[in-house]
Amino acid sequence: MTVPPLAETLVALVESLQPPDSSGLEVERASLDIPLEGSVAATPAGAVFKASLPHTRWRSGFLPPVHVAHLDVVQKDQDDR
Amino acid sequence: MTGDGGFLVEDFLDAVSAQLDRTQDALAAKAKVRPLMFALRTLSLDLQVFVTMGDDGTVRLRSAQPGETGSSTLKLDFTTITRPMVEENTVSLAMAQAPTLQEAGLDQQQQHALERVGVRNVAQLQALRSSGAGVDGIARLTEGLVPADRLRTALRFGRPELLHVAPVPPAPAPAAPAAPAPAPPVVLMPPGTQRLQVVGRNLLARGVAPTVRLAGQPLETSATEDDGLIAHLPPGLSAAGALEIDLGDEEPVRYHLAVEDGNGKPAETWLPEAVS
Repeated sequence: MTVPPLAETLVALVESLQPPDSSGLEVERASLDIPLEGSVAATPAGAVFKASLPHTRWRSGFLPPVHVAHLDVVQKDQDDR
Repeated sequence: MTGDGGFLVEDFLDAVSAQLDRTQDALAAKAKVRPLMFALRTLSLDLQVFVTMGDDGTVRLRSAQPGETGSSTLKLDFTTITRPMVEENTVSLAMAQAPTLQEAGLDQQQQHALERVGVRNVAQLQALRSSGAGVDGIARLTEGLVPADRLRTALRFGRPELLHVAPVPPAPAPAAPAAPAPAPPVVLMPPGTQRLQVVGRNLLARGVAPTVRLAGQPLETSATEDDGLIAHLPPGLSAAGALEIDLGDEEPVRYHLAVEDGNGKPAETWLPEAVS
């Protein structure tokens, strides 16, 4: 399985917080603690951090170590900085 | 930079922070086309890495691989910062454009010795000397790896220097006037026409309806849709002139509105019917 760059994983995670347009719900802010599998890899364009969510909950001796990411996400119009 | 030895710390951190920049850029772009979107305010990462130090004193980081134990946890906290904070913590452009230590003739060992005291180019070397350290003091900071005379040579390399003095050539002659714009297309209408139908696409894409002007006067419009609208000609006007349709671009789209003379050709004169 190809591991995507971390940015693609983060964007997908943030987008998942967007409620359906017709739901009437509004998420003002959210915090996520997520495990990540990945590593900084050498590519022709330089070093790239590729990371994605672990693809299994089972533990074995040949899976990469799990990193941890904590995200604080706010609505765009509340991001006054 | 790579291999089993891992990455230099700055390369490793650049790889992580570049992904954060890409994330923010992607979210900002999506927010322009969606009614509501989120911004990433803070991101904390606990990365499992192995830290090594090479013979040259450089610290390298390598992501832990499957089956490896005993890795270190590298905790990184990223947060969004304000523009003044960016400017306050960013090396000035002039400082960044200064000659490098290599360009100033220092060998690799001497460059590393100066980098260990925070000097990466000649401008920073000058700033350190001006701070009171002096050339001899800097040489001592490098434990003698960069002699004082080499430092003076490098500092001379970064001095302001005149290379050439010459008269400024006269200003070029003004360009020839631009060719006249091509004549606008002619819209022929039968005598007594009261409405014009304007057909297009994405006419409401800018969020406002196009404006239609006839001889500089705005026309009333109706039935405005994304693919067309109706423009009402002023009563009593048997002919017109320049028709402009402003779509919100820099230049309006121009036509020449003409009334047929009965032979399918434009009439010669353009006068309201009420004028005698």
